[in-house]
Amino acid sequence: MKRHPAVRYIIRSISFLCILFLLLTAAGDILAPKDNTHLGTYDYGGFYGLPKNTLDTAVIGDSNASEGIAVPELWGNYGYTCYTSGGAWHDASQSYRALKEILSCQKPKLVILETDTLYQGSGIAAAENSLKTMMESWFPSIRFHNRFKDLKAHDFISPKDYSWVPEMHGYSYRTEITPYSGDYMADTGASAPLDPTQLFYLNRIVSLCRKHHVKLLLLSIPSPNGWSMAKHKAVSAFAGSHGILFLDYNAALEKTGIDWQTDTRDTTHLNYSGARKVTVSLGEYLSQNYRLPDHRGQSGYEKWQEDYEAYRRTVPEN
Amino acid sequence: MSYSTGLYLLCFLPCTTLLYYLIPLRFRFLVLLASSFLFYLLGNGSLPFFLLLSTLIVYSAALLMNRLGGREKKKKKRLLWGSLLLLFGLLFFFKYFNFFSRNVNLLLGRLSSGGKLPILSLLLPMGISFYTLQAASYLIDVSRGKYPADRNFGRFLLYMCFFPHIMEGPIARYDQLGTQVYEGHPFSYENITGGLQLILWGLFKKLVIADRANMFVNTVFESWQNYHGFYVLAAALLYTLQLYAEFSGCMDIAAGSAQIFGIQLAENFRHPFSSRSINEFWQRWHISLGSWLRDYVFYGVSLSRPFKRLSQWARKRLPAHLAKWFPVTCALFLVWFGNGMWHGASWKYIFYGLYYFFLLSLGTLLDPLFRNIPGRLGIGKNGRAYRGFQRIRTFSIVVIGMLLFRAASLKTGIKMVFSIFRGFSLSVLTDGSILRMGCDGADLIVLSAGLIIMAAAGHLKERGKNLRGEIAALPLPVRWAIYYSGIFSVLILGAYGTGYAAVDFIYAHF
Repeated sequence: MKRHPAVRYIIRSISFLCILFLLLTAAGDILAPKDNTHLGTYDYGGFYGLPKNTLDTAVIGDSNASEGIAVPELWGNYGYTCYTSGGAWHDASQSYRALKEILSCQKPKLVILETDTLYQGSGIAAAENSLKTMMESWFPSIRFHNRFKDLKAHDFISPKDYSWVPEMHGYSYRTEITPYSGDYMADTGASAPLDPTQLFYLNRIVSLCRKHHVKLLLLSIPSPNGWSMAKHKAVSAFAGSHGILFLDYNAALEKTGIDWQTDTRDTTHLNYSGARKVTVSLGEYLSQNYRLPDHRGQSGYEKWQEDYEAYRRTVPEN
Repeated sequence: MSYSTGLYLLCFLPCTTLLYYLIPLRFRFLVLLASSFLFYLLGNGSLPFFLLLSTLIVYSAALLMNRLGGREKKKKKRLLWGSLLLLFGLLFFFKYFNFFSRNVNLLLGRLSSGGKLPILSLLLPMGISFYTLQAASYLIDVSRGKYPADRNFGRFLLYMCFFPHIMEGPIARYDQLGTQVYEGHPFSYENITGGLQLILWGLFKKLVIADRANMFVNTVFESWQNYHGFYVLAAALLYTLQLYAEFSGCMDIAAGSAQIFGIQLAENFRHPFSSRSINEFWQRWHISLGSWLRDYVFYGVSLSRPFKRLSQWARKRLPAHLAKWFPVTCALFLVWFGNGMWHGASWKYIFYGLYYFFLLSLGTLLDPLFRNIPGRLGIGKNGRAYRGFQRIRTFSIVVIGMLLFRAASLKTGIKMVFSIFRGFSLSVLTDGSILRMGCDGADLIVLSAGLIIMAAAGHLKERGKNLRGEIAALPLPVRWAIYYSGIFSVLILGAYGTGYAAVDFIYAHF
């Protein structure tokens, strides 16, 4: 029986797309890194190496998240298990992807979203970037396409070994100093409304947290070049209308004791000195507002203590 | 929104296509019109106003000229010149005002005069260089009586703003595109697949070749003081190929997008590097600009009364060869000055145009001296060796031109040309230093393979082969294997994503 041309074309097109989908999926398996050391910038994918469901707090965001919270301090002072999965220039869509990946293997009680990620790009560029992130999530062959340069025989046959955990649990230790002077939080009357794409993904982050019964804390790390009063107002308004806590250290700098002459490495990111001050204050805040367990001394958490001791050997004595 | 982005390829184009074929034939132009405006708004934010203004000026002027008919020639001429002045006035204001101001201020500064022209903060309306030429060609054609003015504003507006060509051309002619974009085209599976194949080929050229070559090119041109000899030559050569891959790739995406709606755009490139002369090169490179300048500047000037008088004067007073050469050269000067100016508001672009003017006019002037040399040396003009020599000569001239075109300024460009001859050594190819130029070994292999495929495809097309037709005639498994290879080449080998800087289409800035 001869088929109608339209039916033939539809069958042919669907077959073509199905085979393409299968090929892209297969290519993704080959191209995806076989270990979790280079899944993104900073120590993005290190949480995969943690034992399942041992993470209390996950931090997501851009470089300010990775450089602004010295997460090992939270273990040392409170016994909280915390990992930062931040990435350079990560926008809200990438932070959303990071959260989805974390939730695929961990059940954190709290997710901290560093809010600078909500201002990484706007307009058509933000929409374009979010589409790219979505495609990368569906097809790892696109996300890791550049790995074609490093393919070895074992990429075709070996299973993945995602057991690596960086000692600093996603914190990027930096010690450079670039002094800053100025009042970046002065109220100029300007407004910085959230871009529709960023807002869309912020809402998705909120929904995902609710779906997994995870508390969400919006956190703004001090950053003279990255933050402003206008941004503070926009995020405060969002947090207020959604019943989410928003801790803006830029607007409450005195709580941290940040000294801009010593605590920033480039006037955008905190250095170790600044990150430590913020983390001490954040630890206090978490202990007062959330019931997170102290895992120190518990069996199964020995590696956290070992990593903390390694961290202490790296950073200067206080 | 660039043509090579996911937003265009995966959202904008599929949605427009779906809508186009879902509604009745006679309303389909409305989908193209609405999507063209959306494309413009997404690409340029707030400035479709000037596109509308240019469209209104030309539309009304053409209708008025039509009404005047054969009568009142002077009035018609005044109307034509007045509207052209307005049209090009907008282009001048946005594109050249600051260039003009800077140079006038420089001159006044030298003359110690107090006056100063302001430098304005202007945002160039997207595609203004392209749609202005399109509008002008329509207006001139109507005034010449080539076709009547269009009464349908929607049809004319769509001709002006049709999204596949608004950003980088090709510069369309109304008699070729006006009706095509307006009339609804029935769904055609062949058009859809043919269009997608062209888009894929364009993406291959843009993402695999051009954007990868850009890494090497940028490294050299951004810190040109650190490089000389082979590096500068290689960067100039790669930039030439990058620009071709990128611009012709963009044209393929544009033509493929149009083909999906059953619309055929004009050809803008025809294997330009096989040209045996500069003249031939410009008949194969950016064809729509070359033909526009030929039809509306060269012929317009050559056939004007003052030029006819100039030709008569030359015939009386100059030897035969010079009498023929002189008026043509004067008209050519305007063509190449216009070509240079069109590319951008900078002396380097003007120099780029005049570089070709100088070579072409000198070539014509000295032709009687050189014409017989190959014969005297016993070299056949159509022999393979002589043709090869001509191609290499033309290509070398083009590469030098491109170096001047890409350099940050005219002064830098000239310095870079001379730096090629300083410390030239091929040892950089073997000592590993070539791998520290932004491209690693794998990048260079992919780039070389891409260039070979592009050259082979161009060569086969030049020999009259219809590659797409031949692929379409292959058995389905082979055909699909070719398509999958193409898709995977772009997705896996494309220079995009983490580790690569997104590269805008170069001609989108002109």
